[in-house]
Amino acid sequence: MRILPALAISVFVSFGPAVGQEFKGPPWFSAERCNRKDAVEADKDLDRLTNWTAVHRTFKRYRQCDDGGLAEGYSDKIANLLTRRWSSVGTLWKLTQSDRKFEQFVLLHVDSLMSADDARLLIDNARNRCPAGVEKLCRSLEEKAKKPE
Amino acid sequence: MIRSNLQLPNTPDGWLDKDMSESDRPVVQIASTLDYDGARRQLTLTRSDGTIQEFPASNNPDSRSRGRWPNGTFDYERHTSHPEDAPDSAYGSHGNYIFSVPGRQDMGIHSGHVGHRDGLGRSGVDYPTFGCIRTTDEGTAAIRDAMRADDPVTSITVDNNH
Repeated sequence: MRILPALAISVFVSFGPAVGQEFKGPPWFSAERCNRKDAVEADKDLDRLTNWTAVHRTFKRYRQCDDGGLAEGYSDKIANLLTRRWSSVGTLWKLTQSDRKFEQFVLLHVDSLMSADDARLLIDNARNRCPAGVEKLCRSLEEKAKKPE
Repeated sequence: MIRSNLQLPNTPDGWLDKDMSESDRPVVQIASTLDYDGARRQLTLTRSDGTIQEFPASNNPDSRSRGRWPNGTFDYERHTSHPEDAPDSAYGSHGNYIFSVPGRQDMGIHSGHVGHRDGLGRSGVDYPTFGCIRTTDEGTAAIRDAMRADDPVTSITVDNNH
């Protein structure tokens, strides 16, 4: 069972970038609508993303800039909230009830940048510490943590 | 001060002496050059004195991102850093050196995630990104040193990265 993943990794390491790999990109990204000022402000805002309300606010203001290093910052902050601050998942659920695109944003950033250790922690949180009424979101988070790509 | 009569170049070749007439103005070659070879997975910093430093690097983006760097030469844009910057943080110890890539945003060179493995077992410079090139803390420290010296990096050339 471990041979195929190991083979895939060795092929990538040996030959560099995978030829023909498809990249979709977040649907809300727009190079035309993200100007330099937005990108600089969005990057400064990363340091304030310590709760879901702040993440939702930055999504509404700067989602058009969701690319490169800024997107990696979003993945990092979202992973941190879903693992080390799981008790706030109820707030996330409430925000997603009025903004489905925000739910898509959070799920998109449960991605391959999440470490295997954090993915295990998220799966454990979603399975064993899911608040009542939030089960559907917990199942979605668990599925994304299992298959980040 | 070596920069006292110099200004940022309007060509990618170096700094210009602004006190001389246009026709007599020589290009003063004091910029460092930065190159990324996607096939060799290597970042090369060449300082103005000819010193060459090579670092392992990889451009291994998540499939939901907008993909890897295109081939070409791209101007330096800005540097970002964050209070939590450290070897195992998202951007590593020395932040993100961002270049202007048409149609993209925040495309940079950084390190980070030391000691982590992703779900496919990838680690080190192979740890995925959302588009950026990942190198080592040593690589970004070398870029930082060039930026603080009189031969800053003004652009990056990316090759063999399809």
